[in-house]
Amino acid sequence: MNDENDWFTPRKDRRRDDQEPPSSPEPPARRTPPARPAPPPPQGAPVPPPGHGPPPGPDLPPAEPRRPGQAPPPQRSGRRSRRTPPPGPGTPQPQGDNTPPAQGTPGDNTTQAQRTRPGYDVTRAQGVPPAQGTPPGSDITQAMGLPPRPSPRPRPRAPQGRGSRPTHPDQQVWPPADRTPIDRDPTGGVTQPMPIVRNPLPRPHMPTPQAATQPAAEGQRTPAPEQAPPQERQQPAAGGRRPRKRRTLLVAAAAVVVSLATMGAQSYDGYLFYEKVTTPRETRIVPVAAGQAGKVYNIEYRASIAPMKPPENSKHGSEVTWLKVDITKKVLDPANATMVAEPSESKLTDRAGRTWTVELQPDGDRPTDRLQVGKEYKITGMAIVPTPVANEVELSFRPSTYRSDTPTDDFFDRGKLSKLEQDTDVLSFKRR
Amino acid sequence: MTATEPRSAVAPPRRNRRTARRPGAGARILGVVIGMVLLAGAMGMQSLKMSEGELGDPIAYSGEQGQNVDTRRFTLRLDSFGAAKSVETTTETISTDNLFLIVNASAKSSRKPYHLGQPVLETADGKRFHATDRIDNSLTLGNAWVQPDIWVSGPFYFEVPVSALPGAEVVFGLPPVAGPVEPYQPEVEVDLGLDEEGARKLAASAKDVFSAVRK
Repeated sequence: MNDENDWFTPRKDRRRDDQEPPSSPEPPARRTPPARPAPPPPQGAPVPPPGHGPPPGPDLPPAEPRRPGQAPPPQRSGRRSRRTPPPGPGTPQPQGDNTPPAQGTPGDNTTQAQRTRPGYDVTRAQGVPPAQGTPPGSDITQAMGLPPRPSPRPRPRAPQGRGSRPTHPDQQVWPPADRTPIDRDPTGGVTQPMPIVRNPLPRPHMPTPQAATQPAAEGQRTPAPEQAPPQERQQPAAGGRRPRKRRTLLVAAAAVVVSLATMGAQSYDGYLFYEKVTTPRETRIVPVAAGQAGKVYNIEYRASIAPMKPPENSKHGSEVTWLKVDITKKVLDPANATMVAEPSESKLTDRAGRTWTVELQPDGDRPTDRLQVGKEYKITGMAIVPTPVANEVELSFRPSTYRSDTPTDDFFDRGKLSKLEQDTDVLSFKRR
Repeated sequence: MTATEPRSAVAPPRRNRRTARRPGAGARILGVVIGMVLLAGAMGMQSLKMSEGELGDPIAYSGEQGQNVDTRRFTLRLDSFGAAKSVETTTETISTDNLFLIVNASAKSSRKPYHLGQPVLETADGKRFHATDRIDNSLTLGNAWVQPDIWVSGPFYFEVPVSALPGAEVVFGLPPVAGPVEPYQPEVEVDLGLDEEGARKLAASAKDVFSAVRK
């Protein structure tokens, strides 16, 4: 008992010194009593605990039970650590009776003290004027002594009752204890893990009220540690499933995304190929009215289509019509006289867009380096088309831009090759 | 407070889960079996996976002799087939120790002019024989333009052993091109409908000389 009290005393003394140098008498009275009892014991001895026991008993016992609900912090942080957590939140309410809410000013030690121990403080403050209690030893006796002297004793007892765990008194953390005004922190400023409500509640803070009641009922101190673990387990379990679900969903979503991305990449690759293969070369169609001449690169082309008699060895019957295609080419500009190559992609197209190939063959000999300006060169071709479309098919071809004076090396030089004239123009001869 | 709470929140659920999941021996065995089955299934699926080249394999349209097979780009019909021990070309007569299989086909296209490629003979056991290159392409149907609405017909020549004929089929397609290969090209598969006996008869009825030169 005394030892424990002694333990307390030093710290409490400090507080007083720091916080309430002037009013020290009062606070010491309250807190010191247990601690100082050592010196007083002689005094206390005369005032036998048993004798006073009864009177204090009533006073104190209420004090203890209240403590859980109330905020014991002022007295001993040790208690708080265990009990306070629950009481913390609860305290403000129950105490409300004794301690007017208005008092709640963290700054004032007295006020705090009063709050924490409503009954006690009040009695002291009222019954025992602060002036009396100056002597260190007599502090208690004075402050409490006159009327409530018993109270000092009871406190020591209270520890006894708790005696089972006399070792804990030093748990008090000096500054936080006082600072943690109950109002601010629902947990009561406890540094230890708080007991959590048994019922798994979504909100972690909810437990405080319940916890407060439970420990009070059971025995204030012991219950706290036991209860805490089960509650903790329950709550996390409820919340723990979500992350797993999330993870699963995340993996599933990732799988879908990845497969889609793969398919998309392959499709895009296929599309690029399709585009490259199917997209015709860059083309500018130059329509030529029927009977007119088409002019490209300053070279004039004329064309005519006429049915012809099928050759002897033709395997086709009347369903196929043989067409003779005559093309004349006339160079108008000496600058382009070197364009000696024959047109390519010669074909017949019907209105539906179906095409038939035309095989061209230049007539007679012709110069391979330079064409004569103004002379007409003939190119003849043959084609077969289904008879039904024989009168509607139209001729088109792509004149070549090849120049006979182009160094062969240029065709193997990417840069020079790209600078050569591109044969983008396609002549399309209308028949009507 | 704040520091301790989250820890406690995380740890406990595991306990609960584990404890709750402790299955019996039967359940465990069942789980293992299911896992093995799933694994085997996954591995089995791998055997179906197509390789890079196979992904772009041609799309085959199959038919029978005498039937028009429309691939949407061109329509092909296998008219007839025969056998010969030698083939007369414009320059010489080519003979073989095996057998010349002569396939007569007709074709037309739907929108554009095409050339047909040399066909391939696929045997029942998966062997592939390309059309012979001893006979010039110009003497085959591959030389002709296959154009819209105009049927053209001509022969193709294979040089194969008799044993390859039973169950064999001929695959026609477009000629190979340089550069990037177009995926999903159309091709036509025609089953010759030959069994062992048919093959023997065909081989027995082989002409001594077949003239590839058109007259």
